[in-house]
Amino acid sequence: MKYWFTAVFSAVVLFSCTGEEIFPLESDGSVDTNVESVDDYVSGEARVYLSEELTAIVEEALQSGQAVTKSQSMNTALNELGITEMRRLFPHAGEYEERTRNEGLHRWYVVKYSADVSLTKAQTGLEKVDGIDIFEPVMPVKNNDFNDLSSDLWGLYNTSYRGVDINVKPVWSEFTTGNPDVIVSVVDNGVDLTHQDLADNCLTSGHYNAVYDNSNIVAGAHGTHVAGTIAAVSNNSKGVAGIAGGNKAKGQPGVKIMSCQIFVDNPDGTTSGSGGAPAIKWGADHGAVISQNSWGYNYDTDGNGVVEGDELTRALNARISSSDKAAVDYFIKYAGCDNKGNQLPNSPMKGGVVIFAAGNDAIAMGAPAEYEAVVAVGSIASDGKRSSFSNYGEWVDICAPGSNILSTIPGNEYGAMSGTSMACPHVSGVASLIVSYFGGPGFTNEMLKEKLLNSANKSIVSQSYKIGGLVDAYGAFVYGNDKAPLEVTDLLASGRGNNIDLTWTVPADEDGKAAYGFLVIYGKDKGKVEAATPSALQDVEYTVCVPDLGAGEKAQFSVSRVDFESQYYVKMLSYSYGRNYSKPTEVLSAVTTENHAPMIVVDYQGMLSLRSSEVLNVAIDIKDPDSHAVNVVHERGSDAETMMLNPDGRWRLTLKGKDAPEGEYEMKIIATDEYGMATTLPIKYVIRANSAPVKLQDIDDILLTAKGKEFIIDMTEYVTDPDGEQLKYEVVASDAKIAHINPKDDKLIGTALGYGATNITVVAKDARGEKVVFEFKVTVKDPSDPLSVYPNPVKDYLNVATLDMAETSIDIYNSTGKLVYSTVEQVSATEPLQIDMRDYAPGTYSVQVAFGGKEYRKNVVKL
Amino acid sequence: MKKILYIAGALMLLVPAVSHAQALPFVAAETDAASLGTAGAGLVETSSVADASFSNAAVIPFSDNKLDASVGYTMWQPSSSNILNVGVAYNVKSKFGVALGVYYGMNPSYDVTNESGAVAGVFAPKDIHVNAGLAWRFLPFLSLGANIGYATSSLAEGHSYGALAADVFAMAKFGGFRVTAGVANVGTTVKSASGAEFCIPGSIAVGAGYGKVFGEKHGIDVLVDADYYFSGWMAVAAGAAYTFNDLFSVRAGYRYGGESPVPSYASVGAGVKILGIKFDVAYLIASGPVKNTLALSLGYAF
Repeated sequence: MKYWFTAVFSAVVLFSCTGEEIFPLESDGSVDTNVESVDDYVSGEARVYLSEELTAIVEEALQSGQAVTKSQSMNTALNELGITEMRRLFPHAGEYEERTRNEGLHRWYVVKYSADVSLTKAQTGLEKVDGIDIFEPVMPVKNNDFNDLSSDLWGLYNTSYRGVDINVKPVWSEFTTGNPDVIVSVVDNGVDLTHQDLADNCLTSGHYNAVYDNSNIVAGAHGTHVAGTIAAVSNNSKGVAGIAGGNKAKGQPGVKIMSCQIFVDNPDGTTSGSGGAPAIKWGADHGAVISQNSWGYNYDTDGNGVVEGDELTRALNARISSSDKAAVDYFIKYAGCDNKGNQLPNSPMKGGVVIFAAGNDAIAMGAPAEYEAVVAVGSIASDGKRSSFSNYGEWVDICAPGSNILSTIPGNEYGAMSGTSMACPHVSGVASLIVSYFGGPGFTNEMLKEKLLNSANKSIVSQSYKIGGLVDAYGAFVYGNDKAPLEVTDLLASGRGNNIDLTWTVPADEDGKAAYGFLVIYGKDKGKVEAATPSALQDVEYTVCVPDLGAGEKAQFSVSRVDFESQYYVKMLSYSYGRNYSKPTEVLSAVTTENHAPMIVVDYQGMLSLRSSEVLNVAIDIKDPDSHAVNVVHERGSDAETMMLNPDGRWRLTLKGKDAPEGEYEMKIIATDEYGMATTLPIKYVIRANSAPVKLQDIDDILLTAKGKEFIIDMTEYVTDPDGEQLKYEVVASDAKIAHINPKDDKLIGTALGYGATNITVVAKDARGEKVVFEFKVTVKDPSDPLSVYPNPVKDYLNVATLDMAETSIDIYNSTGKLVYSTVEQVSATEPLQIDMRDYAPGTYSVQVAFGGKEYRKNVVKL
Repeated sequence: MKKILYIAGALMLLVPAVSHAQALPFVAAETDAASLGTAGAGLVETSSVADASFSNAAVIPFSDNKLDASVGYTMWQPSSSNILNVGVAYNVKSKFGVALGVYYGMNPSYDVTNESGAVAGVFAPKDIHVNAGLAWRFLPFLSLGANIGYATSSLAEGHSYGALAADVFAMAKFGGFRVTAGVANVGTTVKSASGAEFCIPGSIAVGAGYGKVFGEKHGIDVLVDADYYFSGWMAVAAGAAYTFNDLFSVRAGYRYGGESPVPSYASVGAGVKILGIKFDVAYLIASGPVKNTLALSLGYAF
């Protein structure tokens, strides 16, 4: 704030009186074909890089508090643009001002002008000022996170997908858990310096708020989360463990966190900020040797969450801004050093390492991480696949866990976030561990980068992801420290489609320890392949194979997706876990072949034939001789067909005769490899005509004389299917409380449940639903109570049932004794007499029945 | 009177001529033990009028007593219903008559069964008949009487059926000879669960009787009732009672029921009367289902 240059309106008046040249509003009147628009930048603010001469003029004016400078053109710009503030981008650096000036960083200024002035006008006006060498609009920046809740420290130790983590546990047990001499500057929003899981590992002073150019840190979730991944206090029975968080139980402190705040949380929940460059520089000037940067430029200007159209074009062409580049270069050069660039006595490393998140736009570029001098970090999920959001490209140096990462958030809370923002601190944490252990006089930032990047585990993360290898903490510590295995001596190479198939025997080192991995170097230029080494792979193609085999075991591997019908040269080097490489094999030649169409093999001869009732399963093998992915299309001939891919990789064609009318059909299976080579296999089949079930005889009524009594009906005596189908039986009882019947195969197994009579309907169906219906009655009769009258009360028809069939006299009297009905009928339990009582008045009636020489009486009510 | 007869004639045309189509048939059955002893012939019985509200209120002003009350129990066959009935009649100076009666029939419970014959519970039906009567002897030899009542049967859970019923009679007495005529059980219909309507057993009824005391101790009373039901049936009941010294009575009678709701039977009965307290018993003799029906009553008259 001390260096604010206040250009008040009086200055404008002053310039107007001088009659200086007035610049046009537009720079040259030409049509701007650039896809960028003014809306893509922070309005009313720009960064300028001044010449030494103009810098001196401006500094003089600032020191004197004048509203004008000795530069006429500068004064004109001040006037026309309504400039309200002009200050150094990189504030005065105290004891490090000398090197700041040596690097020219004092010549970077932030210019704030009227919001009514367009960016174009500002650029035109300022670029015409003598001594302004660079005009740079200010890119809005964003942090790279996704909010999500989960509880898993899989990034440190993955229990679901073994090996898909940063492999830090052996480092803690064998080497170090961190060193407080190592300072990591977290360029982000503010770190919660009082968090129970962070406070011990945060600097007590030296933090910097670049937004407001002071030391007041306002805690934010993003910065606190990032800091927790690096240095949350470990082994303290609280929350989470940081990568370099020390060991609280053993009294070992972790690395120190320096919060360099460049974001503020807005009231609407969004985050905004700027000032990455001065924040990065602050770290170098205040003892940090690792600069952790989980932020990047924001190209999603419409805020819809997707970078597309013009946004995408801009993002793909984006590069680090000059001011940010200057700050990065400064950090790399001066971190841990004095003004002369010599390592300070108490510094763990000469020079710094700047680590940037690759960005979350899922595109092939990400600024400023793309800057070659920084370590660009992509993100993987817990299954080892590239996170859906991660930017990618050859510029990404290394990857780390970034999906669903649990860490600290302000207020002694914990939560999960996703993003390359979360991957980046994993790399920063591992880097700080390396410096903690190896750091000291003579340890340089290049040494750190070599260990960090060359030890990355390339076998876990597919090369096709283009996010580098997975950061490997233990690998970095043992990098170069173990013995190289012997070279492979029996490598064989052959071409198959666009694959190079390799077989060899796994060698061991002189101690008998099997080689950890194999670097396969290949290309069409034999000379380049011969010349390539593990540290010089620029002119060749390469891949790695980690077969997890013992010494002496046969290994095989295919280099895929090379060119068809081409001659390739290939050689192999075995290597230890510490990336010590063997001698290479001889360079072998392999000629790839033409593409071969997929093969479809049906495990059936002749035309498929099935009855309507049948289900036919046919195994089908669909393979590509060249190991290409195959797309299978099933052109259906009828609804009877389904095709499924079994877990064993074989396809299964299922034909269900009942799902299509009888007839002859033809289906097709079309298998197409990823290069468009296709094989078509027609399959004919016939669904034969269906014959309906045939009733052999009716089912007689059944009389049971006790509850619980069982009966079995063998349906083969009553129905048959000409097709020999196993029929399905559906049984419905009009009163389920009387009897229960359960179909089983061709038998109906019944049980008497209660006294009474129930009508049973049995439907025997074949697969096509053609059916035969049976109806019969099951009567359960209590022998001690032979007369049954039901229903009672009766509304219309009264059933009078006895026991066995017999001549039965039935008289009905009204309540006063008048005979109102009399008959003699053959009646039994299963063939009761049904009396129409619809014309009987409501009242009580007495039913007197005589059969078998005995008389019985029951009262009945008519409603 | 003309109007009442006209209504009765109209109903007669509507009522179906089948006995099972008569609702609430118990309204036509006599349950008073004294009357049942003479086979129910009692429309002009003047010695026992406690149950006049169920038969002929016009007889009350000709009663020998000022007050006649009784409590009866009947076990009516063939359903073995247990019937309690209470009746009281008050003769106001042989000029007017007032009567009240309550009939409560407790029928045996039956098994509630569903359409499949499965037993789902039990239920005991009940019959209730409440009647009130008024009489006016507007000439020394001639009276008019009317009863109005409500009969109901509770047959099942949630199923009760009831109807209003009325009797209207005129009665004349000339010395020991009495004669009466009127309509009985004219009332509303009963609707079944299916919506069909059924009439109660209404009839045109006539009755005659002659009573004489010989030698101051031997009394004889001969009674005849006839009903012509609106459904076209005819029923006749005749009976006689001998009373010794106004202390002990024996009775006998016969009812020809024809197709009417109450079947034919013969009856015997007896009674004792001491200091106004009466005890009567009747027993039905029949080849049909009402045989063995027994009725008892205890009354008081003064």
